[in-house]
Amino acid sequence: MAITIFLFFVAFTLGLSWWLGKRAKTASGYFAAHGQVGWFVNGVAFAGDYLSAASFLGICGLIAFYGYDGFLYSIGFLAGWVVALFVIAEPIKKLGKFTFADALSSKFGGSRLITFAAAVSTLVVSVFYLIPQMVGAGSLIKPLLGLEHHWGVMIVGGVVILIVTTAGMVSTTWVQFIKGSMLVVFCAALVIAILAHGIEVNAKPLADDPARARFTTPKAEKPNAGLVVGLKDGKTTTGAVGPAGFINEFSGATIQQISKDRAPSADPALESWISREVKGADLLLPGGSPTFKGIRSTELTDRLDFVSLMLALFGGTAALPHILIRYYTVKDAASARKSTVVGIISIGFFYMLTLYIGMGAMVSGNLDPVDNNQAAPRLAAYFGAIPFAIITAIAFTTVLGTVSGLILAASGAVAHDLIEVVGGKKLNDHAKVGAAKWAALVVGVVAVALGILFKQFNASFLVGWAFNIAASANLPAIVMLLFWSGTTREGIVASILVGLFSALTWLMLSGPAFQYIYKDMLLFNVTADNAVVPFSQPGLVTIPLAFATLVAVSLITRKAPRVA
Amino acid sequence: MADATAEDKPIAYKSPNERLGLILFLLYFVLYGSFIIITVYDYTILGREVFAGINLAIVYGMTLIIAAIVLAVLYAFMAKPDVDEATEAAEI
Repeated sequence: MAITIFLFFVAFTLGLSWWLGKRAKTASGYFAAHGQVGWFVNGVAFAGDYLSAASFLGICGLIAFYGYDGFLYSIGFLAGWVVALFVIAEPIKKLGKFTFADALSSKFGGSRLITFAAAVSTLVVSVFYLIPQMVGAGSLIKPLLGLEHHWGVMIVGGVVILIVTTAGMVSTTWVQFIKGSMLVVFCAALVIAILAHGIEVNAKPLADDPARARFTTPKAEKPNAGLVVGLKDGKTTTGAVGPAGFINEFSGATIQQISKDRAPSADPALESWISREVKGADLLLPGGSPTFKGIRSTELTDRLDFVSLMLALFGGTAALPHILIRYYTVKDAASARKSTVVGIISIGFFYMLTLYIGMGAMVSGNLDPVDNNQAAPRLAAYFGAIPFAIITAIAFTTVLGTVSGLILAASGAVAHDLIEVVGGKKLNDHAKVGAAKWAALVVGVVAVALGILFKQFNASFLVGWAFNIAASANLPAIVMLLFWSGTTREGIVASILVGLFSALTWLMLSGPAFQYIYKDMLLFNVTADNAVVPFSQPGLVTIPLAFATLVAVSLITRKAPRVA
Repeated sequence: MADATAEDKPIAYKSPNERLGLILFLLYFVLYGSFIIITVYDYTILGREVFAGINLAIVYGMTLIIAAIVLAVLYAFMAKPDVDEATEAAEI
């Protein structure tokens, strides 16, 4: 039943996308369809574009595992839109260009160097944005079809590569509108179900059940997490509660968290687990997760890690190439503004819901203790097979849409920017499409491989990396081009390359890279303590570094001829 | 922006919409920045109850989301119509 509903949803969305794409090509051209769409539809489509499955699954998962820390991502992701709307959108529209590279180089009458730097940056950011989508796809397929994570990643990769290379899928505004509105509406319905259900005691306290403090299960089995062992005033259930009442009751609850024991069990056929009890009020404070634990540290550098990530989230949205491009797809400035406002309202409302979905998953008694990306689908499963199928299908089609869009953007950067503009090779339409398809295939395969490798990461954490890179590489170039007349082309190129490579290098030398990539994936004998950089999120250092590079290089090369 | 001259203006100069955008951005930046400063200074401040058992962390977080929505709506209503922008574009 669940699989039938899932397949129906996916087939419906893909069919609609294909049909609308075909119609758009024959009727009013590739981009003209956007001009005909009303600002409201377009605004919800913004949300459909931005609320990738990775941020949906990742944020809910982080909240379900660590509480408030996941909500910090919601706050940061939305704040990024403020920068996009108030600072970047209005002036950049005047440039009248349609791609990130074209917009940056237009002031200089076109520049191959800038196009090269911007294309490389677009490729890197797209790949880093693709990884969490793929990781999310694996987490969706696992509970639905019972297939292992890597199969989920390969299925999504295969379907998307097929769509992009054969049909040339045009991910239309209407499809993004449908996905965006379904995601918001069904998540709202899920939150209503959570509030109507309230919180109930579903496990014994550790004091009454000491065997649970440290216990083992057969390797293939996982215990159910998300347990409540006590409520305020000794209640066993809260009954239906309102939005404020739910937070109040959650604060007063005692929650049992289960995690894998770092020390492996003596018997290789068994998995060892540890339980601990936490007060709900403590979970509603920042600093409980590995990503943000520095907030509670006495060391200043640990706390700067949090500042760095919040800065990257703030500046990253406006610097994401596919978000910038999206802003241009509306006809006039007024409807662009209104669309963005509708987008912010939808996205903001959705992020408020994530807090309840995450908290609901934490007390549902149906939480995977290892894979936090599965928290939202498993919460839906708690309410029945149909909600589970619908939420999974929406998330899955969102992955398909986002991945297709990102692969198309990346392959476009290769075919148009790198081969035509930088390489100076004039391609005819047929050859250009061919080059783009080959690029799509390569990017798709790389994304699948990385999606399998990075399966232990939380999807939102990986999106955070993409934001750090985008904010470091692209934001200084865009802001200075718009606000400082002394900006030179050499300054822009240096800023993009320095921002890009310093952020990448920093991430690869950080604690999470040592712990999860070098130790867990590549099996080197290292730990997070071997990290070379003082904190893991680079933005706080690499964003100012890119700004400083731009100013310094622009001042040095100022006499170079430039077109005002 | 400070060294912009009449002949060599940056792309973004003081049109009413851009000025409005920057003012709203600064307002939000102060609100967002204060949240980060409080969290880094002493995160336990965020544990204080504001009303009905809800702590400052939740209230401030929700305020940041609602503020983004409110400022965006304000911007849409206060921004000048497109005619001005067409004139500005012609001046570049």
